[in-house]
Amino acid sequence: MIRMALHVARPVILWAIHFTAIYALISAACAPRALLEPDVARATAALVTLVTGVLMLVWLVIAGRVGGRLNPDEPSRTLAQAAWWTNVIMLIAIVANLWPIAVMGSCTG
Amino acid sequence: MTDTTSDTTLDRINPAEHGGARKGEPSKSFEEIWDRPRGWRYWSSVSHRVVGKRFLVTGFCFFLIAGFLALLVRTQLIVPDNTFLDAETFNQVFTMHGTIMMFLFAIPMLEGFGVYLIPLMVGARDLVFPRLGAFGYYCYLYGGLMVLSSFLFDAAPDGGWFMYVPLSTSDFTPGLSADFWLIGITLAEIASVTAAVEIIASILCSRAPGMSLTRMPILMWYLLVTAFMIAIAFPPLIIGSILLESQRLLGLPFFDPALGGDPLLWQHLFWLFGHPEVYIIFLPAAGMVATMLPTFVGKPLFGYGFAVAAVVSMGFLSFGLWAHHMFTTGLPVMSLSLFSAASTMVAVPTGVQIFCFIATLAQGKPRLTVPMLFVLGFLFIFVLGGLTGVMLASVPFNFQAHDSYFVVAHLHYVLIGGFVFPMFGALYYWMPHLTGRMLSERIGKWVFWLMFAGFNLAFFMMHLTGLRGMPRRIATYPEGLGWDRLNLLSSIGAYILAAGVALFVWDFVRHFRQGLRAPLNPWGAGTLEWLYQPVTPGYNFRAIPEVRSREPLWDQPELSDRPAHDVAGALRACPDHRRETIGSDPVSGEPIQILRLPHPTWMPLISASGVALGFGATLASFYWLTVAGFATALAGITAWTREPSDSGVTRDTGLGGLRLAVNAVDRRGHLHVSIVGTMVISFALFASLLFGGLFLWNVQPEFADRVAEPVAAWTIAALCGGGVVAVFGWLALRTGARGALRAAALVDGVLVLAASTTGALMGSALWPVDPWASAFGATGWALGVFVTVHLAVIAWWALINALRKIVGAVEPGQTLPDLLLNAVCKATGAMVVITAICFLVVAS
Ligand code: HEM
Repeated sequence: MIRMALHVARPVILWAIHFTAIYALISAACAPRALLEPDVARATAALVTLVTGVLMLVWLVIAGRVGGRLNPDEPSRTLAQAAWWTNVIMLIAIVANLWPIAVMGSCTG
Repeated sequence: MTDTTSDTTLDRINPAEHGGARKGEPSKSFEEIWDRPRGWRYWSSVSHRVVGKRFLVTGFCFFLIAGFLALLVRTQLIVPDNTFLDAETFNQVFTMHGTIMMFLFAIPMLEGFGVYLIPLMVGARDLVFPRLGAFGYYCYLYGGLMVLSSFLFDAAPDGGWFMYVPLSTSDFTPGLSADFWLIGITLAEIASVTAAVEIIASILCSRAPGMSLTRMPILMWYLLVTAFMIAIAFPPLIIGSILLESQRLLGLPFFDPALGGDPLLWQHLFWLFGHPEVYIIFLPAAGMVATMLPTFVGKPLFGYGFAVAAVVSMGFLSFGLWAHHMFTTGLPVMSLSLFSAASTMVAVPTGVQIFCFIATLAQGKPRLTVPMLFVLGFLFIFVLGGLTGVMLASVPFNFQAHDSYFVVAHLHYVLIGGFVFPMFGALYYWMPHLTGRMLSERIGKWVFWLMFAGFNLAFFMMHLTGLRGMPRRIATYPEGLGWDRLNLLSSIGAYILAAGVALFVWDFVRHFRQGLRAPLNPWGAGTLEWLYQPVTPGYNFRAIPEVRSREPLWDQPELSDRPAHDVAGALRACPDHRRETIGSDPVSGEPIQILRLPHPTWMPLISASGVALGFGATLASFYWLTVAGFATALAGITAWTREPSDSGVTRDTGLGGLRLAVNAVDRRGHLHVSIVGTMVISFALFASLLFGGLFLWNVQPEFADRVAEPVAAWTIAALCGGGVVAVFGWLALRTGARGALRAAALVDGVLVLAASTTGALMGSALWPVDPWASAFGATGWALGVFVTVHLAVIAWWALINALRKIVGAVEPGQTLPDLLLNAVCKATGAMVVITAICFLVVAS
């Protein structure tokens, strides 16, 4: 049960880290201090998203398989179901995070 | 079930061998122990039932006041060129309306429901920290009265509910109006953060035997996520308010662009709170809907797992949206697009959740009771509000609609649909529990239809006025712009809505004498709070039943086939004549300890009065009174924590011979969980300050680079000090666990020294930095002061721990205070190290 509770928590925490990373990259590239070139920010964002996305896909598969293996009356099954859905929602959400930095040529659009 | 405390390393010593439990009130029976104090001692009550009702009644009074202010706004706008209110008063009225609704009505109401319902629904006799709940309530009451009293001094805040700078700085808002807002609201917010800790610990650590996470009533998931959100979202506002108040009071230039500050920093901090706030208001309301729907449909909630996923996702995603309130401030377009995308994304889990509700509805034929009507009203209105939200999430549309009445319409569809309607439904639903009588179904239907029709007339029109270009916050408008008739209709709608609310108040007053007495489980619900005939006795459960289902009253016949008093369960015996409940494992819900709960006490009231005096005196610039106030608060809080400890004594729970320790030394226990929760809040405060520093460094590089550097040698010493504090916190625990009390007291003494020295080193490191010369320097000082306050708390706490060991107030094995202090030392040590590293980076 503790494991399953962690399975629900980890995709959302990963999303939070991913969001913070993308926000930081955009801020580093677009604020007056101009710490990073937009292209460097973009490449880093793509890499971060790739790693995050792969991890989430793996977790998604694991959640699906664990849920499938559990007896329908097992209390943990509800958490497995929640973990699967949380992974799906967060997978879409990290793509949404990446999208602006991926498609925009510069900070001003 | 097993005695799960035995595997922690801290329990190698059996505290039971070291003395018996102190008797509570031996002359009193079980019922008398739980009785509400009478007469003036009523105000010393700390029971969740009393405190919860106080929150609800006070919150509702604030709703009526803010509603009255809204009617003044609508009366002013009913016709063009109206002179009913002058522009100055109009600004005060709409600002106070928004402020009271958001801070003094919505949040406290949901806290009230949480405080009242959580123990009843999870099978506990009270919240795990009843005194904290009472303390929070008094802070809220004092804070609310302080904000409201500004009207008496003709100093009501008038800068809008989000108090934007530079408008709210002393240059543009001289006088006290902004101070009333900043100080009063911060005081009231203490209630929110204390409630967050209380809710987290109570839901996780005091559930009935067998109530695993997945057997919790769905409302508990909503409240749990909300409490975590409060813990993370309120700190940015608290930090923002403190920074702004110190700019107003001390002249520190946090938001002054001439000295490297930035007004947008306020907006970031405010909306880092403000957007999650909307979800903090909405989620518990949705949880109440998810509780009421199954009752009236007669089937369990469809997709419990989906709903859990949705609420957890929403809790997180709602933190990624804050800058969508800042689309027109000139942020880089790439940033805007990130927030636009995240804003659109939040519709996904919201949709999943609404789908669960609709699917539940589709499973049966709902009974159209008054609470159910309000639930349907919620679904209709909130979905519309969500749709206009998706429209506003699109940057180009937002540019057009920004600060227009379209936004006013959207926010009321979300807030009134997402909170007020479910809240009225919940009041009808749980009123029998609160008062023992039913509100009238016939009058209730009138209330609903008046509110529903009035609301839609008032606010649907505002979409159109907004699209026709009417800005928000204007005191009047000229004739002939196409806004006249729409405004007239909006005002008529507002009066109709108000008539519905007035009718509710009348029914409420009437029902005390004429309302039907509530029968057992009047709605046929499946959750545990309806086990007893209303009104449930003060102890909630004579014996705490085992729970094997999410709807125990539907699925466990042994709960309903006999009088509630005779239902079998834990803690029927009360050998120590103390208030007690079962402490559970946060995940599995297995009992792990017996929680001792406090009896009525004046300490929360005294401490809160001290805090309020401190805040009020700061507002009035009587600084010696400020010191006196905070000293009173410190004394009160110290006295309340100074309780004889029974930690470790074992007792039979009455569950098949299971013996459990009283207040066990266990990381899964309520005290440790609450300390972790408190540290989450501390880290959020710390992160808000760090964010402020990073933000200014990034957007005002020329100022940041000119700031004098902290002294590297002192900074490195402070960094090491942070490590020493963490190590000695741990050492105090280890030594205490070995039973060497004198040695442990000595380690505590070293800890006092280490914490004080580290604080002094931090100050020495910052000495060359002039906080008045630049915003970046001021932020550095703010960070330094923040960690030093934590170090001071550690020093004070360690001193008390040492004294208790020296005077023999602690017996071997009673290491709970050390366990807790250890957690604080680790967290503070980490903050000191991070702060020192930041200083070193700046110095290099
Ligand atoms: C009960 C019926 C209500 C009516 C008739 C009403 C009416 C209004 C009106 C007309 C305004 C716009 C003032 C202006 O921009 O000039 C306003 C603003 C606002 N309302 Fe309400 N309102 C009601 C309930 C609520 C509730 C329940 C909440 C929150 C829980 C709320 C929160 C706000 C906020 C935050 C503002 C913005 C204030 C500002 O601009 O600083 N209102 N309301």
